[in-house]
Amino acid sequence: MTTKRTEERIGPEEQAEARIKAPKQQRSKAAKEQSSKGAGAKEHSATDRAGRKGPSGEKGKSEPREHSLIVTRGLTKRYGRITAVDGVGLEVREGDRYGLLGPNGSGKTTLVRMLLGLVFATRGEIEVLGRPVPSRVREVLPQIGAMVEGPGAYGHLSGRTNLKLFDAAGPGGGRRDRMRRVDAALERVGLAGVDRRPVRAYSLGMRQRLGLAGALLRKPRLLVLDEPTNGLDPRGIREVRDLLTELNAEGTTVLLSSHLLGEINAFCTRVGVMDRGRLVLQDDLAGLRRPTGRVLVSTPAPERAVALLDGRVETRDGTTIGVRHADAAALNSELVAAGIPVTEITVERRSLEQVVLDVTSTSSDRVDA
Amino acid sequence: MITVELAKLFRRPRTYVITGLLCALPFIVAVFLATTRVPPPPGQGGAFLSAVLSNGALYPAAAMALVMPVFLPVSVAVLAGDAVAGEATAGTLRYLLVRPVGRTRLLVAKLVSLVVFVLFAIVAVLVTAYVTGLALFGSEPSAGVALPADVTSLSGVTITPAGLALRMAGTVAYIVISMLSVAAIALFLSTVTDSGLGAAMGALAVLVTSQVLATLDAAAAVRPYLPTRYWLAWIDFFRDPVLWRDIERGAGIQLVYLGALLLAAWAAFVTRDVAN
Amino acid sequence: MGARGTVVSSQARRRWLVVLVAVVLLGSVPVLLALRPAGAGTMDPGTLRARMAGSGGQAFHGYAQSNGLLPVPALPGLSDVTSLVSGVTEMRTWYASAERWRVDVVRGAGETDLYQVGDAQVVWESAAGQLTRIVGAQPVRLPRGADLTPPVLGARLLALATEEAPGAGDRFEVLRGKRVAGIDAVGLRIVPATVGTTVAYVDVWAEPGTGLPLQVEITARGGSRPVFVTRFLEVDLSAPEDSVLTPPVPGPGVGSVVTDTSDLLAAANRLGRGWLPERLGGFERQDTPVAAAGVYGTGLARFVVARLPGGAGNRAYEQVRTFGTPAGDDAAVLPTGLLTVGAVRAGRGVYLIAGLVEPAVIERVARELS
Repeated sequence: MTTKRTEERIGPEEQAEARIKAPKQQRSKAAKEQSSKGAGAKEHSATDRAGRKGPSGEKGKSEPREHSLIVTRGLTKRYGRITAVDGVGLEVREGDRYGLLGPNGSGKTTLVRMLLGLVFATRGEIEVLGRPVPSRVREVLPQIGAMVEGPGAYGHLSGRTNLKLFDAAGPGGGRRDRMRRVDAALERVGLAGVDRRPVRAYSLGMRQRLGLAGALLRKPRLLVLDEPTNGLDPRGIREVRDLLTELNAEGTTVLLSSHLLGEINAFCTRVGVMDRGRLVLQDDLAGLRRPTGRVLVSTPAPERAVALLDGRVETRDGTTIGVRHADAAALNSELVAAGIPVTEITVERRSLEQVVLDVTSTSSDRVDA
Repeated sequence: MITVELAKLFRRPRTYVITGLLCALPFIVAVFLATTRVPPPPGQGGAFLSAVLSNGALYPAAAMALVMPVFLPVSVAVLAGDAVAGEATAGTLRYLLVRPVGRTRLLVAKLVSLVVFVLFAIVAVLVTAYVTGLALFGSEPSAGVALPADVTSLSGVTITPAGLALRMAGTVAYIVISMLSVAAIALFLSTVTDSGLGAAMGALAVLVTSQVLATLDAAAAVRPYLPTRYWLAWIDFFRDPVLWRDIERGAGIQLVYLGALLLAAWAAFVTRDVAN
Repeated sequence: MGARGTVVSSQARRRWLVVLVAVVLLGSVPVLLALRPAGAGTMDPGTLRARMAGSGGQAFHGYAQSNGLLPVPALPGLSDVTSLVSGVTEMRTWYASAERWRVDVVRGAGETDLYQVGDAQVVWESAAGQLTRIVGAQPVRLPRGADLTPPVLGARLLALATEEAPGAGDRFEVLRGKRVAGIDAVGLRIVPATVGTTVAYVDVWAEPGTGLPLQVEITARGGSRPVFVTRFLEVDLSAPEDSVLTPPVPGPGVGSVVTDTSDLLAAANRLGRGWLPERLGGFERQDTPVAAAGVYGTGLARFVVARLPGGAGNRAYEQVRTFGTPAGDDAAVLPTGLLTVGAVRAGRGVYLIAGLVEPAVIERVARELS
């Protein structure tokens, strides 16, 4: 429950609050990570950004670190003349809530499929849980729960039967406690009361939940979810997010791909941005959303404020002015001391949206003459 | 995995629909024969059909001759064509593969479930045909007790009930083997396309071509290698003595086709991209 | 390469290579078996001829297939005969002795079995579910499947070719050995010298030890490939089991008749109508006089003339006229390369002429008969 509350603090609707509170836990966690991995990680993400020049893996100092669950190097997939994935150097570390962000058709799904051994790479390397994929993918798949591009189920069977069949199809897990595992998974995704209705009568949201239950059956160490909230209503999306947060707190690493910025923003600790097959950005979210060095001040008397802060005002948008200032509290007292009313004062941060817009080219579905 | 495939087979309504249709054909023929009592002219029409009017106990064999050349292979092709392609379309294939289920294992399980289906369908047809035959045509009482009936072989020799059961078992086994090539062709095509219908059509195209070539004198050189060439060889079980030559060759050819196509399916599927 | 198990395209190629090799291996097995060199067994033609002629006592059983490429249309009432020379006939044969044998002509969903039990013959027709016991001698009868097994046909052709005094001109040559039904057979070619025959040569391959003919091929004059082939696909030179040679007994589902006429021709003969001259087309009549049919000619240049009764005769005449060429007002000739068939309408009956002779001979016979 504590994690849940923490999570709520950085939900989109709490953005305003978060701006002032500047989530302590996030910051401290990010800082810890920064210090633990040191300069190497920064260099790594930097090379990712520079990935267009060559396979980033070669520069990424080869061997994966102990706690990297997924590492790819120069991963490329071509379908005929179309390059769906181009020189991707993905790195997902243990405990990450990794968000793979990108528009439809940017190669996210192909990348995820390659990680699971469903699609075979044209070039490059993949290592998942320390094993090369796909040559030894079967050793690691039992520890992975996956939902790839929508749920898949036998429409004429009930959800419970579907899960039982999928459970029985693979290795491990006795017949004896299969029923219990299935019930537990259904309970977890909020389908505990599901009856014998065939899956074809399910709503898209129910199917999505069923798919999630399938991924959770074996208590995976790594969850790979491709657009898991597709077709869910806002409440459902929230429930799924809470569930994933809970699982992550229990130690499950989550790789989530989505084309929805808000979803990544709300859940992930680390983000990779795909654009036309390339991983154009890979960094910790906290790092991306670092302060810009400006403080945003809303005041009914902007003219006076500008006059007072002469030279330090960098932007002005109606009654809101952006002031270059290191300390919001000090600025506040300065303004108050000058008798300027302040209705709102915030440390300005880079928004994920802005970051994404900066690193991506034109919209992928745009067709210009 | 095999148990899962079998569970899927027997939980699927279409399995029963297809089997029902297969059983219906000999039943309808039997009703017409029994009401009109017009037998096909000797030497024409389906095998055993003219003999059936006098002895219903032979109707299972006649029923086999009715469903064997077209109906049964079509159903096998449809099911086998859908085996992998259908899972790919429904999106379940990727979930099976990440479960993980080995791709080779999946293919073998699919084939086993197809064989079980053929067996199930044939036995269902035999049972309905036997019941229909006895009910509509009656049986000729053998000396003394009326049941079970004696049956005359194609060579005019009386077959004992035990002998008939044995020959029927041989027939069932042979037909199952005969369907292996159809299943393997459709299964192979099913691994290279996402369209179950396309795979089934492809397999049927091969069969139709084979049937046409089998009757063409100009193609006599390839005839012994056609998958359908020995399909009706199970009739030889009802000769006295049993003529094993075509049965052996037919079974051999089917196994060769099965081996080659299963290998091809394996080669095509093991490193095939599973993506829509 | 450095992909450490990620890029699998080379594996895929290797896998397809495995498939290719396996398919080639599987496919080449029958080819290799067929190409296995046959033993170079050779034998003096005289010895071989004598051995073949004396093979009548050799027991055997096997599976034989004849293939005729003669374009003979199905003649009404005679389709069983015409299909023998214009299609494939599959036969199972068991032979213990001249008085005890059985030949099954196997068709898709039925069979016609002929049993020789002493003097009597028993025919089982599966399509009709009928047993027919033929009693008494059959001076004339139509050809049937049992006449086409290699030993029967081989012995018959050999007898025809050698019935004349040596020196009549038929040539005998030794052929290269051949593998027939797994046996290294030795071959003999008969090149008839008789004028008027359509037969270029007859090739007979026989088991070297016993002289049992295993394969017979007839090649017509002007042709390079045999137009009629009969051969064993499987053969075993041991005596068949006795139970196989015992005909079925009438019972439930097995009807039974006894007759003294086995077919149309025998029936026509029994009726005793018609008259056939001693000499036709320049050939002498060969057999003892019977009313409805006569055999003319010598050696391989011989033909049969049969008088068919009204209905069947007229229909046969129409068929021959449709597919053949008219020879006068009431006659037609149908040449097929090897076999020449003619039909002549005379009075209320029809003469059907068939033989391994040139069309000119049949035309002449037709003129003489009409």
